[in-house]
Amino acid sequence: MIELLGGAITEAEIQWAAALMGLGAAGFAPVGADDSRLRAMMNLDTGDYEACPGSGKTTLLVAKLAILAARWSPRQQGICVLSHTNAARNEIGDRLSASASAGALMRYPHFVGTIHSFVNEFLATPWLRSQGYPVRVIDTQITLSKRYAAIGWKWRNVMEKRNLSLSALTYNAADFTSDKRGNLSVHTDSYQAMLAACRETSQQGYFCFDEMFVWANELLDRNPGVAADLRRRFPLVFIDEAQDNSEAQSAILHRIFCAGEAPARRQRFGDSNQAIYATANQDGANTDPFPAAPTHSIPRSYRFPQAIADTVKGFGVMPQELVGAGPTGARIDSAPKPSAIFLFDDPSVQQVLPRYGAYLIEHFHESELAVGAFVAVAGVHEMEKDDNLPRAMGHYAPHYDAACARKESAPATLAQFLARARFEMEGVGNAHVLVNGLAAGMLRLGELLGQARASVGRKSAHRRMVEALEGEAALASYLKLVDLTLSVRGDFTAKAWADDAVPHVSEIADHFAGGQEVSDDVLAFVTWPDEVELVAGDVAYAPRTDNVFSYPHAEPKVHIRLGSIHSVKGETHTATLVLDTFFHAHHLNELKPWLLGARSGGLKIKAKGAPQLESTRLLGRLKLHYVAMTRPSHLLCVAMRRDAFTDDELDVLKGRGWSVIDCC
Amino acid sequence: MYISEIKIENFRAFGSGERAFVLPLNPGLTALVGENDAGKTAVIDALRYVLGTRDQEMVRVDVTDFHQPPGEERSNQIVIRLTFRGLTAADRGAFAEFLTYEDVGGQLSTALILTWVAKRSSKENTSRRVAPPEWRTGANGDGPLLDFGARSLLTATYLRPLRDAERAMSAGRGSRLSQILQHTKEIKDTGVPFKAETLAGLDPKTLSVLGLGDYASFLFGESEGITATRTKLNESYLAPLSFANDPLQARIGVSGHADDAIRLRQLLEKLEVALAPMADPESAHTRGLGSNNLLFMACELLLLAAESDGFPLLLIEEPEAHLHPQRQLRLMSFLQAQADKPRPDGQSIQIIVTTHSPNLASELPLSHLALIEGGRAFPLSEGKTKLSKSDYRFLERFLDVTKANLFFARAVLIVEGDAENILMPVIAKLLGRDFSEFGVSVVNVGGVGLGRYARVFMREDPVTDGEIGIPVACMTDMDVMPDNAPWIVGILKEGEDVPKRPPSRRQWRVKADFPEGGLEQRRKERTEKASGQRVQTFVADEWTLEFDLAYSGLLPQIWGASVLALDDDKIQEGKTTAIEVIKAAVPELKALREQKLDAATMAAHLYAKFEHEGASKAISAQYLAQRLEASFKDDPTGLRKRLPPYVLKAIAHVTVPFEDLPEDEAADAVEEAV
Repeated sequence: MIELLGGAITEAEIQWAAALMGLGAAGFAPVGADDSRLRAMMNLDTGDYEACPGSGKTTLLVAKLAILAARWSPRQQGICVLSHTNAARNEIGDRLSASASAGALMRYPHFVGTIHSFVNEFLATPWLRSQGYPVRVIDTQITLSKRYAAIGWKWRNVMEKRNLSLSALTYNAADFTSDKRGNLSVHTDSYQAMLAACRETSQQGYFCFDEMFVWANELLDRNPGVAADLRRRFPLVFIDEAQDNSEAQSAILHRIFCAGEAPARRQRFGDSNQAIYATANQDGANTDPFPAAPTHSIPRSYRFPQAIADTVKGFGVMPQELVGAGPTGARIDSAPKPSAIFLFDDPSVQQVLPRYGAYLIEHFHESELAVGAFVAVAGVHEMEKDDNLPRAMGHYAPHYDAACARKESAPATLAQFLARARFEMEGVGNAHVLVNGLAAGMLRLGELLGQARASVGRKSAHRRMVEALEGEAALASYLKLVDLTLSVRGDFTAKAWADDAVPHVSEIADHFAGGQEVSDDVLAFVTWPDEVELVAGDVAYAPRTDNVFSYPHAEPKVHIRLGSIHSVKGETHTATLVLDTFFHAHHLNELKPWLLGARSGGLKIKAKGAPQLESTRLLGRLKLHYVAMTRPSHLLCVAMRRDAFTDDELDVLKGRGWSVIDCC
Repeated sequence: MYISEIKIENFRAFGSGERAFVLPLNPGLTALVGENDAGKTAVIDALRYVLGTRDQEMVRVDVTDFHQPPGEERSNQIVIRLTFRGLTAADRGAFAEFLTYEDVGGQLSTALILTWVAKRSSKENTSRRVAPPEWRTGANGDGPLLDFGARSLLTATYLRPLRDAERAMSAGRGSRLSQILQHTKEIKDTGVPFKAETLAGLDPKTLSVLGLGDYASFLFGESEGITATRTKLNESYLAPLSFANDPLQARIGVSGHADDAIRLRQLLEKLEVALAPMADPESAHTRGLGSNNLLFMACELLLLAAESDGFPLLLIEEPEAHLHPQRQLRLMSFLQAQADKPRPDGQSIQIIVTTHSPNLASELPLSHLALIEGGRAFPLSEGKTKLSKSDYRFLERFLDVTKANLFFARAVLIVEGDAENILMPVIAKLLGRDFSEFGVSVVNVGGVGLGRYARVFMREDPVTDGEIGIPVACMTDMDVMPDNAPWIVGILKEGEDVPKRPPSRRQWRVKADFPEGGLEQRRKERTEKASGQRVQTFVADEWTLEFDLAYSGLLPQIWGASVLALDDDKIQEGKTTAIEVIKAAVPELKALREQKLDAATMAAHLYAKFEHEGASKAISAQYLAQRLEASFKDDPTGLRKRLPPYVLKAIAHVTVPFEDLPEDEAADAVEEAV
């Protein structure tokens, strides 16, 4: 590696990179005896980094990449940077693009992207294309509905009778067999019908996300040399948020880059205490789990102060000796505030957010309220039932729209596409986010109308949209729609939408439909949500459909973003309110001993015998709320039922520096 | 890796679908041969569009590049597809996301398939007539677009036809030589940089090229003359022009750019390469264009062979330009050696040349040639032609320069001997079928391998590959003499019988050897040796060309020619004259005529001049040619009536069919022949 780079990384380069990141030349210099960041910058060997929340690991990774990019000379070998979400990829990309030389990492021969896109781009799609399968859509939702339609009513009845979910129409082997078809034998007609539906749609180019791993693994089975080729192409691999790797991801990455002889250099950055997964039934990796030796710790948080560090560190499954060096580089420049707990009962649950708003207005200056990021998060954000209050975000905010906040799945309406784009644009103001949000929505419309489109490739949604309409009359409509969207910054009133936008949307829809009848699904997709009528009475806030709670309603001074804990992974907030929710039990209630300081970490100390890990479910609660509680730079708040605490316990909390606010 | 197939659609003369251009290639050197306007340059240009060239010259797609079938609209989309095979591990890594996996007999092999698409705007009055092209990958062009960085790995080296080597090699901004030298490892890595501190005890020999430049710049700065001038400029002129707090100061020196790479480039741009005459290396006279051309190619190859990444492709149009034949041969074998020699990174250079030089074409094995004809490509490699393995071995040995012109013809007439070689063009011209007008090459194979040469033009699989549109006629003798001929031409003595076969192993045949349609069978076998597609073998109607000419009506002329040939030495030495020789021969012919022999017997007597008396067929052909030119200059019909049918058919095959003779003349012809 050193030869490839023509020498080890020097301190001068590290200073240059630190300055480039806006940290000043001493950004990665040792602090006292802690030189963990400097060593992390210098190291070019395989290793895993346990980086605490707010340790600036993405900054560190980007700085390191900037140095490597400036040194990089091979034309047919590159650096591979893998992340979990497109958002993380975009963040790395945006920050690399700040420097001309580092921006080169975004292009050939390098790769910066999600693990899924890597597997798709380098293994699955080349292999599928080579076998004559076009790859049009990689989307579980679209693919499954296509298969469900293809299988025919007779077999749909069988599926219903046997209580088989749509996942019976996925496969986990290249012969289209699956272990998700109940106890159906392979030889039954119904099993074969499902298999045929899988095969036919695959031949038409429709795939579920996870099926791409099936094909990637098949290529590796058939042609093991591919792994060696990819190691040659990418002698250096970085994996961000490595704690989130699923078994499938971890296994295939290990197979590509590590197994056998001549492994690639691989550095993983992550925080095993923050290992939370998108779906409840998803498990961590057994193959090559994170962290593996040699493990390096980066325990210094630049996000929050020592007070928050002390409050939250016990929530780590394997508590790290957190050093709270924050807040630094935050959006606002004032001292951190003491943590606060909001207590409520059944009638007052909807008062929590207004009280939080009031508390923020009380503690932050008007200018700070304007620029800060104020957030309320819930472990459970989808209201499946209406019992066990507080079950989910919906109990606190009745108009909360879970679909709109979900990052992992596609928005369900055009309005949600725009709402998400508005959110992503917040504070940045780059119009491309909005334009591509609109374009992605329009492409989705096209799919609903039966347009096949490639969901792979690096072209932007807008570019694809323009190409799809090239030479058509609908192009003018689309461009006009882009113009309209920009002029209102994506935030249409229902009237403006109906009067100005709908004619253009219809024209584009007509083009896509090509004469066929437009189904109700499509109409629902393009319908703008009604503005929620204000309930007469003293509702003191404006319900909004884009999951922002503004307070006070009449003259908002603070805007609080609502979301799931999953949706705020990796974010830094000025203030975070963690709302208790219900999953088999109330989350925070179960974690009360940790909140009170009675417990720390995920190990049960037993009367005799070796310490033992808590149940998987409890470890899950710990990790989830560790993520939530390590977001804020200035103020950490939680909201729990009043009846969860005895007065003595409340005294303990006060003694630990909590302000107690009773909303009852 | 190497380009294993080029497919071009809707580009210039190349159409689409059935009419698309497809050229499979082997690793190493390939020469594209063919007549002018066949499409050789279009192939090279297609490669330049797709791959780009190292001289950084922009080639822009023009509207006229889009194919326009006769009488139809100009097409809107050019598609050029290159398939790369034989990928090295580095190639597979570099192009991992673009690869196509092919199942070859259960084994997976990798290919890189690159599809270049240029679209034309069909709307009138648009400012941009041609949209920027796209580089797609995947078997069906449905894979990701090829990034700029990946494309740059494929850049080809291109040497244009009639290049001005002297200019390319001379000094100047952006000179090709400086570009080449910049990338030469030795220039970059040898020697140490110059530092002013180490001036004392500096051995200039240890300096790198850039170090030498910097040393010279330093010395310039120190030079008395320059320092004095600068002082004068500063003190006497600039000082009075300056503001008090902002003095203007001049610096005189060689460019002092801070970036090493730029300073090196500027230095190298001052260099030039020239060839010195052998005797005096310092001579001011430069060598000629041809030698400079070789120098230019040598420099490009130096660069190409030194690189350690990317795809080394060399495109040369007409490497023979300015080179005499021996040099051409040297160059070709050198290029072949270069192509066979793997670079340190495991890549071998692929070379594609276009040529009009029979010298070059004859130097290369057939398998390295691809004939471009009528917008299609016909690689002459094994398996693609009707040639057998032994044919290839034979042709590699015997396909020489004179025969190699068959690759550059619009039509080919393959003959077995000098007589045909001399007579056929003359006869054709007299009949209004001038071979040079019709672009017909006559190839004389000298009695051996007639069919082998013809089969060069026959495709193994004409259904998929198409047929080569070049008409090829082979002329061969029937080699069966009339039953009475053996005694007339002196093979048998009076009273001897025709030996019975077997046990006799006689090679010659008489008609009696072929009873019951055997003669037609023999004719058929001879014809079928090389017939099919556009190739047709024409077998002498009777025996040999001379016999048949005499038999069909040119007896007096060829009789005269044969006796002139017999006395040729004496005529040349001035001991006798042609007229006297002819006069002397008249009585013999007259005597024979008086015997009222049939035409075949008469012709056999004529043939005895060659077979028995040993007249040279080549020399008599020359005399006959003169005679024919004199006798039939303005009488094509007269000549045509006297020619054997197979000669006429062969000429018609390689030119255009003859019109039917008017009825009475046809009757005359028959009568006269009988």
